[in-house]
Amino acid sequence: MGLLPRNFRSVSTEFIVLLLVPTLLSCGPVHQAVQPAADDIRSLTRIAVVVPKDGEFIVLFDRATATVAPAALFGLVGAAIASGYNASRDIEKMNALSPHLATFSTRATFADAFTHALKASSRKTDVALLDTPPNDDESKKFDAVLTFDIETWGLRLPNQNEERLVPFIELKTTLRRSSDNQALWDMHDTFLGQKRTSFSEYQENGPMLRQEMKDTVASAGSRMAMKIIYPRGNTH
Amino acid sequence: LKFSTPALYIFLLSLTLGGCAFTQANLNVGYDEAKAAKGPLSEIPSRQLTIGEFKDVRPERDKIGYKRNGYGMKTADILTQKPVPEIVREAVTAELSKNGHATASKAPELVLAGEITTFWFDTQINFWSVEFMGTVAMDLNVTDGKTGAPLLARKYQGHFNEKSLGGLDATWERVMNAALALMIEEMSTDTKLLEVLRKVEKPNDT
Repeated sequence: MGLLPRNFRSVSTEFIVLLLVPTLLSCGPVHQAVQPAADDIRSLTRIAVVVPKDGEFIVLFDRATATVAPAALFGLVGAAIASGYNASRDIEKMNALSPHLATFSTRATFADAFTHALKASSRKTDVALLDTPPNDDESKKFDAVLTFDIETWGLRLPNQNEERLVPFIELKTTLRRSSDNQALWDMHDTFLGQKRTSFSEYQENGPMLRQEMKDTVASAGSRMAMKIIYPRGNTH
Repeated sequence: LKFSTPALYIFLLSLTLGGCAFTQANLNVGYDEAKAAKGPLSEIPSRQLTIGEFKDVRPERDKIGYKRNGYGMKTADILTQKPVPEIVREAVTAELSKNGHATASKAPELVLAGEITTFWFDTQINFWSVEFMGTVAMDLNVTDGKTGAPLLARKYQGHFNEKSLGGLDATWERVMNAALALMIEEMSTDTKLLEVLRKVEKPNDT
């Protein structure tokens, strides 16, 4: 530390620690996605498909434009207050839109679109749609268990330059081969709708919101079926 | 550990300047031709195609995103090494030629062209993590090679997001490449496009 000026030596330890923290943040683990591969999928004739839940309806508007400014200026307490404020503003929007989507089921819409696309293809796969994940004994009746875990869905800002919202669905997909428990498909996907619309328009036009949500979720279901019908990954 | 004021300033400065926030990023975004997969497009007899122009109709055409500091302020542009229309056109061409179709035919049965509506990279800073988001979208128009009659107009979109503790240019490239690949995947498995390609009449058909 002899190269540092005298007044810097006193802070050298803190300086190194503080410099290391942001640097090491870039070294976090990267999730290795696994795409389904043609040879693996071809060997599966009976698949259990599970869409266990509808997922959480959320609106990401105020939270999507949050910055670290409150944390930098007012510390953790400031960050917590700002975070709580942004979350409450988004919850207000969710509450305003929820009645339009009262009977909408992401689970049913997604599962219908997925099975419809699979059946419309030439692929001969026996698909059993289950409400809950099969236990170990039940799993053995299938070559593999495919789980679509819908995490969140709703409306979000597509980017910080955009003030209009877009429908989205976020899900985690896993396909496990029963014989060896090998993950043949392990991915996290977010699908966006095609249109961008202001919050006030969605608030005023419930049928439009409902239709756009339905289109987005159904499109996600069809695209997931295409990944099974035309796999693009490498064999395991 | 007791932090003194200079250390705090340095820490804040390092966050502000983190990732060379004030210098342009120039990403090498493109569709990996080696990864272009044979899919349903290859089940259709080889077609004589021309891949026409892909117009860039994005609101901001000179960049694909902004670098932002921790306060959300725009500090520099994020660019691509190749022009965006070239990236998209090359991706469409690669996918179709990998699946056995001629893409530079002088007597095409079909012409594929389009408009790029979105090609954007963005970050969202959360409390403990950063979310990197890439979105690529185009309107594809298919016209008859002889008459120029419109046969199909479709919208395709690829969106990829990755939540991690941090990341720089290599991560951003990966996110944009994944979004581009997802859009091409949507195009190449689109049953409407496959139908048009399947139905096309050969030029010497009567």
